[in-house]
Amino acid sequence: MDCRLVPSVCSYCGTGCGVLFSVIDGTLVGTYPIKTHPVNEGSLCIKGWNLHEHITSPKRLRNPMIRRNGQLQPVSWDEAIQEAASRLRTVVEEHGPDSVGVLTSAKITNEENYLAQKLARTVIGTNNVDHCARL
Amino acid sequence: MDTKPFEPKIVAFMCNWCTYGAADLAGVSRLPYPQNIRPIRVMCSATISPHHILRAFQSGADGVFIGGCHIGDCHYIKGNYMTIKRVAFMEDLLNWFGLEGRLHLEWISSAEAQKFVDVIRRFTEKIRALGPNPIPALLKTPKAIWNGADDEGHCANVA
Amino acid sequence: MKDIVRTWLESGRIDLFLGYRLVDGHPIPHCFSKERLEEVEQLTESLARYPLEKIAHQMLQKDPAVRIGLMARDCTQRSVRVLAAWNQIDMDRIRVLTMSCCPSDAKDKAFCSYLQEPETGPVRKSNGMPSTGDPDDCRVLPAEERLRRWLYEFQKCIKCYGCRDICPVCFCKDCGLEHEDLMDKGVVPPEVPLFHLIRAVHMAGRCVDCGLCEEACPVGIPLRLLYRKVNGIVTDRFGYRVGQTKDQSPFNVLGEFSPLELSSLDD
Repeated sequence: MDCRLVPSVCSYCGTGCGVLFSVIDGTLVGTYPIKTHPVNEGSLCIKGWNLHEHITSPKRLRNPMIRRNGQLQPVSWDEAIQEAASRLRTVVEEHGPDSVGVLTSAKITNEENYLAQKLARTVIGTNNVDHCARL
Repeated sequence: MDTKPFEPKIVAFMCNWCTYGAADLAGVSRLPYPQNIRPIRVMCSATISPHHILRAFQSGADGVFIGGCHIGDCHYIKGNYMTIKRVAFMEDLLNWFGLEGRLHLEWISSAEAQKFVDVIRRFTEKIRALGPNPIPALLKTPKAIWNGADDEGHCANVA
Repeated sequence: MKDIVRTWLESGRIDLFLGYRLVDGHPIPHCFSKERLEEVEQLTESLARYPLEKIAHQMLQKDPAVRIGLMARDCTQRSVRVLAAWNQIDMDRIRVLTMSCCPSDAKDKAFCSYLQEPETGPVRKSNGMPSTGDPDDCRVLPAEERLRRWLYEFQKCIKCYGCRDICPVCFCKDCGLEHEDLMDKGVVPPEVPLFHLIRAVHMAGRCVDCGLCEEACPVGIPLRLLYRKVNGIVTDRFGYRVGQTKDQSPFNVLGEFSPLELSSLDD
């Protein structure tokens, strides 16, 4: 049996609470607040307490999907990116770049967030960028 | 202004095998008793968990009455052993919490229609004297409870 | 302490040892094992407390054969006994290494984050409940005032479920606080006082008075006082002391008839 307790930072919002993941045999089974962390001082909100659940959640999206005729169908990454790009292009051409907003996630890295805003500003041409971790 | 006299709302959990029968007998015998009780028939007084009692008070009940079989007469042999433990515990907790005397347990067999009528009458009078359940009023007036954040910066969660 | 752990691991009396080590200056629970014996050098006592027995419980659920050593405070030992009484862990699989936690002249150091009294400001003092002291001290206040003060405390709740999630003796798979027939699911704030009183009822005869819930509470509800009261009722009414015996609490199991005094309608 392998049990590890891994200190980390909560990825839900910009507060940056310290969390401790308990990993048993490679499976994330629990989240605890870091007691001595200067940000959260041993407390967490309900989302932070359930951080470990979204990793093993059955509702998690595992591959790209496109909704066709009202049904979500699994497709390849290339196909999904093509579809998203062409549809976005149509929207930008018809209604202008400011008709698009880019919302990014706290679940991705800082660098990926940077790339997303870069895509929004330079490729799409809009300043409508926001992030779920903005407080 | 609401000038109607206070009429207590009492949730009465009644065991199917005894108190409910007593209430039935009281009806058949045309014994009058206050209409303040909302009877809920349960299969045994032991099926009433503290959840139910607390839920009744949360929903604004002014009193909760539980009627069960005399010790030794339980249809399920030992069900009421649990009832008495739970009610004793809940009485202590509610008294300490600030809801004194609003929970009552009585053993009433299905033949004791007169006892049922007396108990309901006295319990209703007791609740009438105690006044309405203070929880809904206290929750409706958050400003009266406190103003703004407290010293530790915690804010009221007022819906 | 390090020597004991090393001996235990080397001799195979335990497979794993749950203790603390410093990570970037923070005491963090760590699982020491025979394969990485050199890590035992980093073993440390910690002022900050984590529910190690809860982690051990999770490990035993995955592999019931593993033998775990625990760095245990008094409260840890009590909760291990409670978990064993409720058949959640096998006592033979747990070995506790006592650490100094409650203050005494005989010890040079005591390690517990609960030794410092929490600071209370004037608003909380005049509206809330004290976090320390005897739960029955508040009886000097009239009933309505006690209720008002508890509602003030409970209304701060953000329904984070932290008190339940950190609780070492909360082991149920289905929680009444999450059941849609009993609680409003996905609604914040919780129903006051129902949410907290239901948790209090579930803590009766089970709470080990470790105070982790109160430490984890982001809004400082005096939960320990509340649970100490419900436990006190169980002790007064049924003579049961949590964590002192191997028996389950008589309040939570049917058992034999216990003659109890109930309130009469006359008083």
